[in-house]
Amino acid sequence: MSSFVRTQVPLFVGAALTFYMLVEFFIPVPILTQGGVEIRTWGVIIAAFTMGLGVTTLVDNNLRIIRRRGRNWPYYLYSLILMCVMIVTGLMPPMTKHFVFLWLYNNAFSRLAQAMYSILAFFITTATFRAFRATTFASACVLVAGIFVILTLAPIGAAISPVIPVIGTWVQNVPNLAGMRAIVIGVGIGIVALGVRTILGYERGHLAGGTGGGAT
Amino acid sequence: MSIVAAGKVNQLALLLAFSAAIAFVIYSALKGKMPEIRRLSAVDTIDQCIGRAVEMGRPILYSSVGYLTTIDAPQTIASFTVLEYVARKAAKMNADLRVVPRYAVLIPSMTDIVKSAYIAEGHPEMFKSEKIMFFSDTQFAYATGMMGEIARERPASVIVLGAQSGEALCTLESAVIHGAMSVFGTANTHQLPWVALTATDSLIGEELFAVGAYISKEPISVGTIGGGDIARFICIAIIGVGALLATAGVRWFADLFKI
Repeated sequence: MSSFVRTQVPLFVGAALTFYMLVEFFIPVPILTQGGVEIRTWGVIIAAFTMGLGVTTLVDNNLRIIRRRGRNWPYYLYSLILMCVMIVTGLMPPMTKHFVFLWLYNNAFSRLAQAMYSILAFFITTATFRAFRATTFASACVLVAGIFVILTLAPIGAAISPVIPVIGTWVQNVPNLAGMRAIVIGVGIGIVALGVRTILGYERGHLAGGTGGGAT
Repeated sequence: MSIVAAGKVNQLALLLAFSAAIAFVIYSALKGKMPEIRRLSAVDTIDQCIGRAVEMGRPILYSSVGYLTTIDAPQTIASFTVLEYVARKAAKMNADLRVVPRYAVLIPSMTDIVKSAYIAEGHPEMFKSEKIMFFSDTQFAYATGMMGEIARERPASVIVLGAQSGEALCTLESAVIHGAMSVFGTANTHQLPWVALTATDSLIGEELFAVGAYISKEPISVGTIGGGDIARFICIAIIGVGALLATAGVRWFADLFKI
C-alpha cells in the first residue's frame, strides 16, 4: 500500500470528519445533524464488526497454544469450549433469551464478574496502605487528609469529635474538588490541543508509523 | 434566530479563543520560537521499562484502553502514539512486546501500529500476531486476563494508557504484587488517585494528550502544548474575575459560562 493511501487519505478523512462533527455540534442545521447521526451510526457498525475480529484473534491465539501443548493449555481449551457454548446458546431462538444462555450468564458469568469486582476492595486496601506511608511531605498530606475523610465517612469520626466531619467535608469539597476541576480543565484543553493536531494532520500515532520516528 | 445552537455560544467562544491561542503558538514555533515543554518523567520511565525488560529477558505488557467512537477516543488516540513509540523501541532493543487491546475495535489499529513499527525499525520478522492478545470487551473479564497474564508471564513492565476504570487498579496491583514496573496513564478523574499513587510513573490528565507532541518534538505539535498553556491562563483569568464578581454579588459574568 502506498504511503499516500496509508497515511494521507486517513489523515484527510480524520481531519475532515473531526471538523464536520465540530460544525455539526455548534450549528443546528438539519442536514448537518442528519449527517452527524449517519457518521455516528457508521462508527457503531464498524465497531460491531470488529467484535468478529476479536473472536478470531482469541480463537487463533488459543488454538496456537493448544496445538503446541503450551503451559496451561487445557484452560485455553476450556475457554474456547465455553466461548462456543455461549455463542451457540446466545444465537438459539429466542436470541439471547434461551434458558441455557440465561442460566450460564446469570449463574456463571455475572457471578464471576461480581467476584472480580469485589477483589477491588482488597486492592483498594493494599494500594491505600502503600499510599498512606508518610515518606514525603506530599504523602504525609495524603495521609492526614485521608484519615479525616475516612473518619468523616465512618460513624466513629463524629463520635470522636464533631470537628472531624467538618474538616473531612471541607477536604472533599474544597481542595479535592478544586484539584479535580483543575485537572478536568487541563484535560479539556489537552483535548482541544489534540483536536487541533488531528485537524492539522499532526496527530499520527494511530496511523501506524506516522509520528515520524518518535523512538530515538 | 442564532446561527449557533442555543446554549453553545459560550462553548464556541472558548473553543475559538483556545484554538486562536494554539494557532498563535504554532505560528511562533514555525518561525523558530519553540515553546519549552517540561520533561515528562513518564517517558523516561517508559524507556526504563523497555530497558528493564531487555535486561531481565521478560516481556513488556502494553494495553490501550478506551473506545474509538465515544468521548474516550482522545485518550485512546493518545495511547496509540505511545504504543508506536514503545513498539519502535522494543523492535530496536529486541524486547518482547505483548499488546492487549481493551476492546475488539482496537485490534486492527494496534496490530497495524506494532507491525509498522517493527517494519520501520528493520525487524519485520520480529512481529508475531500472537503477541496481540485480546481477552474480552467485558470489563472484569479483561481485568482477569491482564491479571492472569501478569501472574503467569511475570512481565518486567506493564504499560496501560487510556480511559481506564475499575480494571486499572486490578492490573496495577497485580503489577505491584509480581514486581513489574508500571506506567499508567488516564484522564478519567475517578481513577487518577490510584494511577498516581500506585504506578511507578503516571501520565495523568493533560499529560496523556501532551505525550504525543512531547515524543514527536515537531514544532506544530509542541506549539499545541504551548497554546494550551495560554488557554490555561485564560481559564485562570476567567475563574479569578468570576470569583471576584460573584463575591461582590455580580452574577452575570459567571452566568455567561453556564452550560
